[in-house]
Amino acid sequence: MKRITLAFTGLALLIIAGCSNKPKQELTATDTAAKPAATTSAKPTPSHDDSIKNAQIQADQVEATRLETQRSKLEEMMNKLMSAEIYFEFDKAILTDKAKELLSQAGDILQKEPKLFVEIEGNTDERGTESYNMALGGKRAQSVVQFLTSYGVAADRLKSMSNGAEKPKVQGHDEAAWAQNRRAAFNVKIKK
Amino acid sequence: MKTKRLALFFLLLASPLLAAIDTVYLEVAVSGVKAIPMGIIPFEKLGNDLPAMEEQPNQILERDFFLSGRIETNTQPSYSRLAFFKARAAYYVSGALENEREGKIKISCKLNATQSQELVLGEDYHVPPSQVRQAIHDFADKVIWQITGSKGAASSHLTYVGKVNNEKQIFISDYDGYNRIQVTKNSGINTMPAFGADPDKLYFTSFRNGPSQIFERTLSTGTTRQLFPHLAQQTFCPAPSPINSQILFTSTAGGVSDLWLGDTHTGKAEQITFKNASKTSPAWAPNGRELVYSADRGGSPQIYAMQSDGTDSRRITYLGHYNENAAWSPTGDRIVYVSQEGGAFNIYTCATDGSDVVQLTSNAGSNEHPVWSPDGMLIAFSSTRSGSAQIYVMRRDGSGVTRITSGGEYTWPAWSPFTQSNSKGDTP
Repeated sequence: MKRITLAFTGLALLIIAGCSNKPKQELTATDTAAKPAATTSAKPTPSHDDSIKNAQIQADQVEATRLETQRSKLEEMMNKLMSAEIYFEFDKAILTDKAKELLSQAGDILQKEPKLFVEIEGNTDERGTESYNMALGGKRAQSVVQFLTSYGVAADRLKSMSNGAEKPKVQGHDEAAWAQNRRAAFNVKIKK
Repeated sequence: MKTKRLALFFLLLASPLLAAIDTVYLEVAVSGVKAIPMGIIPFEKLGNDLPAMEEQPNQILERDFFLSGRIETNTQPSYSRLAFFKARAAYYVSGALENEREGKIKISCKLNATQSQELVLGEDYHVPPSQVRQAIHDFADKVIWQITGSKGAASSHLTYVGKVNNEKQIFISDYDGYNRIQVTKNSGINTMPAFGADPDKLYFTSFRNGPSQIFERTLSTGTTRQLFPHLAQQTFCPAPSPINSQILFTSTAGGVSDLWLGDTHTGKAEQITFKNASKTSPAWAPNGRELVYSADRGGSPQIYAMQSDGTDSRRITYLGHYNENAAWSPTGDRIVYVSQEGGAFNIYTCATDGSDVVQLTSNAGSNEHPVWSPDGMLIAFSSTRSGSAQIYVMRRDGSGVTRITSGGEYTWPAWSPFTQSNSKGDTP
């Protein structure tokens, strides 16, 4: 199974929750079932075959149940993580107290669940030059990475990138829009 | 049939692809250059059925000469020795348009001596109606070369970013906004375009694969390739060398943006800045050995210059809190940049040591990303002075502000090098 990418927006989450449960389970099932199926067909010994098959089916069911439990748990965690968008002050990459509080919660989840790894996207508002906003977005993402690594999350589970001002969350040319666009956003993935 | 053609004509007029040009004529001589007077008489129209033109050849020439900063025009309805003498115009331009076979138009352009009416320079063009403007631009550059001994930029091109369906795409047009072509068509954000020393190569930044990466587009073949794909980190702000295959760009790794120097032929790239501040917006000096860039060592960006191997860094700007997007003039003597004050940007130039700061825009929206024309006489930039961001050109002293795009939203202009036809003219 390849890494499952989950978009961070609420809409995407709804879509994932609504549509992707089944395909994901199927993917998991075929993935785990593929190897045993190949070995049994390669050795057609009738007496052992049935017991191996039954044991395999049981093991698959246990594994599928476990994965499903884990999956829904992860999804709940991700919901929490992804809603925790971290906002910044104008032209600043310093984390606010509110941001630190949210990031501590994110850090707790990440420490509990080592299969999660996170891409952090730094974003800016439309003011400032396009090129410097790219640099500023990078600094913002890195502020988050630094906080989380000092919180105890392994650096290789965190990746930062900048969107500059190219991917605003809110369209608009006023402080209300700008404030929401100066943010870091999580893109959480599951490591196999 | 006729009404159909008329309807098509009005449709074209209404189309946003046609630039609406408006110029604020300020009678200010471009600093340091004395404008040479030049007479113009409208081109004769031989025969009927010449296609309608938004602007007549004499009007195109008038703007080309005006924007060149080196020629001031005096237009008369017909040859008038007295009027041209009064204007001190030793030369005048005349010409004729004529329908030819296969839908082509013959344009005869003439530069004449005022006193003797003798031909000084003549050029005939045989072009389809869509290329009449480009032929006139070509003649304007030949006249500038003949009269002043320096190259003109009337045949050059601009590239810029346009918003299409809320996505950013790269466009190319003539320097006056006409003959616009959309270069990128992928869904996503394409931005920060720049022409290479070879004007057939266009460089830009695209988010098509997720994180920003820089690409090279060969215009004649339409092929696009990612540059330096071996670099794992984000790349943006491509700045191709004006003299060779080298390219400067910004790359962000671990939250710090640094400058890199690569070669588009060998595919090799090396980091040239390392200090703990974000550096971006590299732009070459015309000698291809030095560059200007911005760094936020003090918290907000300021302009610096250094050698292309990363040594000899020196600070250029001290006035203003937020200075960015510097560009070194092709004449080597000035640096243009933007400075932010009160939420808006304005355009400034200074000498290469940071002295002699001159403000070129004020009280007219936000003015961003200034770039030089290849002759160093003009500056293109984007401005919100008329509402949404549009592309403008102005003379290097801030006069002659001319809007070349309309409708939609256009940002990040970059100028082509001289095109081939410029160098074909005879030496004066």
